[in-house]
Amino acid sequence: MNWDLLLSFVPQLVAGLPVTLSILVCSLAIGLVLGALLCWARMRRAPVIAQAADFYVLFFRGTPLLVQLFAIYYGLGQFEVVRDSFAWPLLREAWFCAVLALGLNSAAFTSEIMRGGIIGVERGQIEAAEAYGFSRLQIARLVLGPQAVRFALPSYSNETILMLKGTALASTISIMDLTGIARKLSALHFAPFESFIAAGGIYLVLAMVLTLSYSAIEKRLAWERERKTNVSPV
Amino acid sequence: MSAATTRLSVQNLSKSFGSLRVLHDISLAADEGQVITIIGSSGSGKSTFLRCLNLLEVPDGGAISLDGRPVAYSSNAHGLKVTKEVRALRTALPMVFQSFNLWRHMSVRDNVAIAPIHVLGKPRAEANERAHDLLVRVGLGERMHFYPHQLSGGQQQRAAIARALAMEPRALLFDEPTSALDPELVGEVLKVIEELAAAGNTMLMVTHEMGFARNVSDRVIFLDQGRVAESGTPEELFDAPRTERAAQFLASVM
Repeated sequence: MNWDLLLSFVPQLVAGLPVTLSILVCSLAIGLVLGALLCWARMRRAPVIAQAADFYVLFFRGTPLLVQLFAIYYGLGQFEVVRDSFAWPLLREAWFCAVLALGLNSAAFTSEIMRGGIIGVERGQIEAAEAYGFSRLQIARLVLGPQAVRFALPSYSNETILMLKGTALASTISIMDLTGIARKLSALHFAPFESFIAAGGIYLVLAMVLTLSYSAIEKRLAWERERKTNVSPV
Repeated sequence: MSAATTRLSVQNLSKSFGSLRVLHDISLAADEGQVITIIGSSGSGKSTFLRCLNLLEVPDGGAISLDGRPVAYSSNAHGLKVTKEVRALRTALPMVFQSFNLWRHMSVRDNVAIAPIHVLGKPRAEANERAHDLLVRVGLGERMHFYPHQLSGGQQQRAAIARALAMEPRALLFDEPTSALDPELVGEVLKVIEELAAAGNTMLMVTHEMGFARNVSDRVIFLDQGRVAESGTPEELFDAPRTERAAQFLASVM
């Protein structure tokens, strides 16, 4: 392995970080908003809407992300309605298609994670809030939300890292993200090992930063764990 | 107590779970400052009755009046409609639960102050100060920044009592407040409740502590299979039960 070559790839690969990270952040944002709506629809069990949400989750969890990405990027353009629509300038863009596919996919998983967090909250916690006159919104904001976030965070941390790695699929639709640049360098220098090891290293660093950030947040929210650290009262 | 006014009254309250009728036409009136204890074997409907009073369970029928004013309630497919009126009833009748149900993601002080701030609209500083005073009153002044899990069961229940008092309640509801406690912690909680009774709070309590019920109650109600089988002063009920069922029950628990 040529270490000098590998090191020389690093700055070029880092130039692809804004693309990778912008896809990650935007798709996670879509996932959170749409995931919350799906979670609400599924838990309220309103007829039709709940079944539609169930089907959505089944569909996006049950098919490969790459297939979803290809269907959106290559598939949608085949319909004239889509080409004529206001959304076409966006749907023509590879970056937008990647964000859309990853976001729609993440929404399915995020809704499940949220549901798990909400189910984890003890009934008595909600009941106490009801008994003290909290409105539905206040229960969500002051009791259910904070506790559900605490329960959902470990799974959501996992989802974030899966999505980070999922962004690599964007390179298959001509996007010059980290992996896209690695593929280019590999072909240019006939050095696949060096270029992909360097890219892998950068993903690893990103994943570590995410993991550490999440465990820091988890520690801040971990009200049970304080017993062990023996906090002294102020 | 001769000039006492009725604080809380219930007329013909009934409740079924599916086809099982758990409460049959229960009527009751609690006068200002009165302590009413509800006893009965498990499954007699006593907790359900208490939970109907603040509409945690929705009665099938029956009228609830607070300070002489009837409280309107109705339900739809999603359950009870939580109207302003229902919320006002609940803040007036805060409940102390068997398993405390303190909010586990907040300090004890925040547990006591949060409903006054967000539900009663009290200024934060005032609510926090009052929370502190109440926690001192139940012997937890030093622990107000602890989280519930850092406290013993008895301490948690005392904090839960402070949380109820912070609502400036019209009456307090106690649902088996000592049943989840280790035996050696029961006394400290009963002592606090006893002080509240002595201070003139109107209280309705479901309990299995017969000696305690006898000491603090103005009136004891014996529920049997969802009906008021007998009611009277503690002396009447404990010393000379008039019904076979009450005599049997008392013999089995005392």
